[in-house]
Amino acid sequence: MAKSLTKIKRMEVPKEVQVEKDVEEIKEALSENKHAILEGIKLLKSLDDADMLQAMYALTNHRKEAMGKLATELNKAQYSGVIENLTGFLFLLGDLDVDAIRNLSDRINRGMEETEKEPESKTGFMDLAKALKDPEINRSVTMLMQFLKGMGRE
Amino acid sequence: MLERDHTVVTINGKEYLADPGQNLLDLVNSTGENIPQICYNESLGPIETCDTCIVQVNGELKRACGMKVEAGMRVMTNLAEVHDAQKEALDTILEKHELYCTVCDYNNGDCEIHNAVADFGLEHQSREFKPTSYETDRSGSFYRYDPNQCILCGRCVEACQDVVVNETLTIDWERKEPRVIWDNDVPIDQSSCVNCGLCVTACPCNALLEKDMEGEAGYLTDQEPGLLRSMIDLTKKAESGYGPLLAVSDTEAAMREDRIKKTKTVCTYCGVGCSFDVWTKDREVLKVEPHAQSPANGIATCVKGRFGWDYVNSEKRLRKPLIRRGDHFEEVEWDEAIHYVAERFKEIKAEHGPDALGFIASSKATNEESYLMQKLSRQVIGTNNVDNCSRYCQSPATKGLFRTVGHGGDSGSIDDIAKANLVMTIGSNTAESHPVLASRIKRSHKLHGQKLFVFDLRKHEMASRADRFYQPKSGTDMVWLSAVTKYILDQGWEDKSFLDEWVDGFEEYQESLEKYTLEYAEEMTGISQEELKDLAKEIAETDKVAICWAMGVTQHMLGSDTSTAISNLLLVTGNYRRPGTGAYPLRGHNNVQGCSDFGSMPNYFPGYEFVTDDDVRKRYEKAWGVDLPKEVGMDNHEQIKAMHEGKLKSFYVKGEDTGIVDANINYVTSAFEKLEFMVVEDLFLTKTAEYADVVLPAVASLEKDGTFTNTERRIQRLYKAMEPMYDTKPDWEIIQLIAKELGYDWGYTHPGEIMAESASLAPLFAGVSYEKLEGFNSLQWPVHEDGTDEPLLYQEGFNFDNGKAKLYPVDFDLKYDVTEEYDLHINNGRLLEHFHEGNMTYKSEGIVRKTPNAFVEISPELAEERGLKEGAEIKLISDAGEATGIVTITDRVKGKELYIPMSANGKSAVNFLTDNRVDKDTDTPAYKEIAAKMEVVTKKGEKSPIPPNNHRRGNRQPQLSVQVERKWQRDDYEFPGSKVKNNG
Repeated sequence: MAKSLTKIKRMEVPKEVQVEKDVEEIKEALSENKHAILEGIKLLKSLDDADMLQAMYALTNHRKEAMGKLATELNKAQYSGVIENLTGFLFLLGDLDVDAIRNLSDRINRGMEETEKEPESKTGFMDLAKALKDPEINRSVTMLMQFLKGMGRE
Repeated sequence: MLERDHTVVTINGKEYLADPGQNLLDLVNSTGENIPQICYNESLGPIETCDTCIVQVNGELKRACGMKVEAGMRVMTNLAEVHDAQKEALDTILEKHELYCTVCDYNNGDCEIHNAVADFGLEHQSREFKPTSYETDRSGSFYRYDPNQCILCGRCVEACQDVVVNETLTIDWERKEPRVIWDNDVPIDQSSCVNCGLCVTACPCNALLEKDMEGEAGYLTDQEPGLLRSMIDLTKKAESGYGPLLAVSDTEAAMREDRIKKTKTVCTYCGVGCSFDVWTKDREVLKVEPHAQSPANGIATCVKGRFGWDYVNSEKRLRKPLIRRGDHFEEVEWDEAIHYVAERFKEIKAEHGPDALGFIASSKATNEESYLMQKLSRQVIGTNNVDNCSRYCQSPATKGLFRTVGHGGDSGSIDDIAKANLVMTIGSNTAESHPVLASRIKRSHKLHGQKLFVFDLRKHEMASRADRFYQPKSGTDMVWLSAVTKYILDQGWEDKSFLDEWVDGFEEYQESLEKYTLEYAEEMTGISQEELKDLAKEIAETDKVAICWAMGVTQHMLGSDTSTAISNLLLVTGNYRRPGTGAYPLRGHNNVQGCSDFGSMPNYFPGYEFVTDDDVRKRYEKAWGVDLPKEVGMDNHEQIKAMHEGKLKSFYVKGEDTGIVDANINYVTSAFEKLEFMVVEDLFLTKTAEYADVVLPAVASLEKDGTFTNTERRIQRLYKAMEPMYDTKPDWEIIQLIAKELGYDWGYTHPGEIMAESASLAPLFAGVSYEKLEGFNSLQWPVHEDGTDEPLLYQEGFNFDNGKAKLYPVDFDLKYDVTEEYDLHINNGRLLEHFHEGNMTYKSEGIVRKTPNAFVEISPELAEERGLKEGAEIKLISDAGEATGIVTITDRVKGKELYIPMSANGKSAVNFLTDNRVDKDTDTPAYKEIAAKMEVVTKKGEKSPIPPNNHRRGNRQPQLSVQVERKWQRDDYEFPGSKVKNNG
């Protein structure tokens, strides 16, 4: 003679029992993943040693604010050039002839070294004409003229 | 020499053979040439709105999707002008659509704009993105529309107008800023939109998006609107040029796969059997995505399958097994519950014998679970008292088909219904009960000249679309069917060669038709003789006829006989064995077909082999190692009766709310009270569960593996998308635990093993295996040992020993009518948005806010006569009981006929009114035969039971396709092909 019922008495799981169950589950997972966990601890330690852990923790907690500030800040007009140029630079890098630039920059450095030295005397027009006979100076001037020619090319 | 049935087309100098009339874009795609195509989708066909697939055809730039192949056609896809025109088209699209993929919820690898831009190698936007002045429409329950991301490809419109034919969406091409509009430009929520969600699936981008996806799919998308805007701007600055943007967003999309799980499943609502991927993030359902390869539904599904999944995570789910103790249920551990059930079963069996126990399987549960329920009943307990809820709906249809053609299932596929020249629906509210199947008919009717004849009491959607709509008097379908058949024979219009070759019993049958004269039919049904003659002529003259029927036929005292008459008519006119013809009883639940197929019936083993057949029984006895009961057991209805008589002491019902869905629920629930022991297995504490001694918490379909069989006899796999919630278990595990406790250790570790066992025992499923059913693969039984199946039945003959069908005489003797006292006829059925009794769909907030309650439909005439206004409250009283409800006045019903949706619960439940009348051959309750009287509680209500945002109040806008010509006529439109030519 069962009448219709709607009342349910929920099972009360004592807290200790639940905790014990959860701990058991965690222990099992630890044991199954022993190697990864130990490596993970090492990683945590080095992050902590470098004070990174706290910083990451804080940043994660405030990620929405951080993201908001970053996005708002970066959207300001003064950055737009920089950001828009970022990818432009990326492509520019691809176009550069790095060997040639290295060669050129070596030369510029050597030139800079020479300028460090005390100048011997004032340079007159004749001195300039004479200087062209100096093979080092002549090479530089020829190179500069070549450069000007290349730069002007359409 | 050219073959006649091929067309030679030259593409980039190479010759290809095309099918005559093939779409050019289809052909190009098959050659491996890669050209952009955003608006084109195979499921939708060409709509020519996006202009991106421009190629050169015989020297002229044309949209490839707009061309059909012709012999000698020369096509170039790799010329500079072709590339320029395509680029122009893509640029135009990107004026309307902002690419901020990394922070877009649609960035899941399948955004077609993203992919087209990437494939094309478009690096820079030459024209700036221009937002419209419109706001995003987020008024609806389930999806939102963002006009500022919409590229006006019109795929949503095509899908709504011509695929599902709900006819809500159009594009207003004439306004300054064209956009997609709902009805005559109302917010989504106020429109006729039925929330089938197909537009969202059809949308190539994020313009239409499920609300559940918003802020959930991406790692960076869950932001405040203002911040999201900043991030969009930032994304665009930092990822200038499309290359880097696409690279970053592709990476993010790949990362999403880590947290969004996509699982193939099969819908758990109606018998159409839609299959789709369900996207979940932990337990959250983000979206449902049907595929072109979904065999029953393609890319469509309905509001329930698409958005009706809230019940899975409902707080009201049972958490642990419950045992009745005093005035309450108490939660217990599984061990205790299973032990308790097993002990009580043992005691009752020992004291009263095995036949004192009864078992009801669920037509919502899997095939494997039906198999185990009957195995528990037969092997472990030793009784054939096992049945399922198809008794409530579909057994009469099965009976009618067994009598005439030999298989109790649809004779073809949904594709065949779509292919028919004439579809007749009888007693089927198809658009609400089987929406996706209805859409196939609606599409064939709208686009391909299919004729639709509807027979129903109620003027539902299909009736209003029909070429002819007949309203025969309730329960008299058998008469007009037989009269039409007789008239066809009298005129000599029958298919003589078909009858000679394939059909037995003609003479006897013809004699039995004597009484069904046109005069008699007119008198009984109310359909005029002229109409009947005309109908007979139409049927006889039409090449391919398919008849669909449902509860309006079966839930009558003559349900089996009427189903038989349908099959007789089809045989006489030769409408079996050919594509586009046949008999289609539309199954109501997701697995009402499979639950019977797999043996939860008192007279059948799995695969419809009689329990009384010694050879069959021996096969199972050998496999199961026990002697099995020889006598046919008690069906559903007989079990309830046996409870009242004190013969049935124990009742175990799984996934069935018998106390609401059986007829005459006062009688049913009082029977429960007489039981010694009752076990209910369900997700919720249902009305039925309230009477149980033990309630076992089961899982939702998303939480288990298994197979369902749809109305087409199609077996499809569902995969587990998430773990069971709380301490619940799948039915197959629960039944197995009970069997084990009773000494039968079955040892199944996966439902695939259960299917393998069943396939090895039942010849009907001989070749079924989980491997063959992987992913979206499916099999339509019978499945032969070599794995071949039969989408279209009876190709090799009918399912009788001599391969011939049988004409089966039926007699008509109507015992039901309204009386002077009970003067109203109460009809009942489904609503589109609430399934069955509503245990699942009422848990969906989005559905409930649009359809909060059931209602009682009454005709304007009756309202006038009784002085009732919209929202009035009435009480209906029948012989069996009484129910109250709120009135809505509509011309869907006429005269003294009322309609109550079966999702009505509480005091409105229609089964307070139904009585113990049943179909004489199958014991299916005659739910559709209720005479009642009305008492008015209040004449005028405060408000209508149908809220203003219900789709029934909308205003559909039928049109063909998206009408791209109107776009082309705009002053600001120039064909990219011409533009390129003019500029260059």
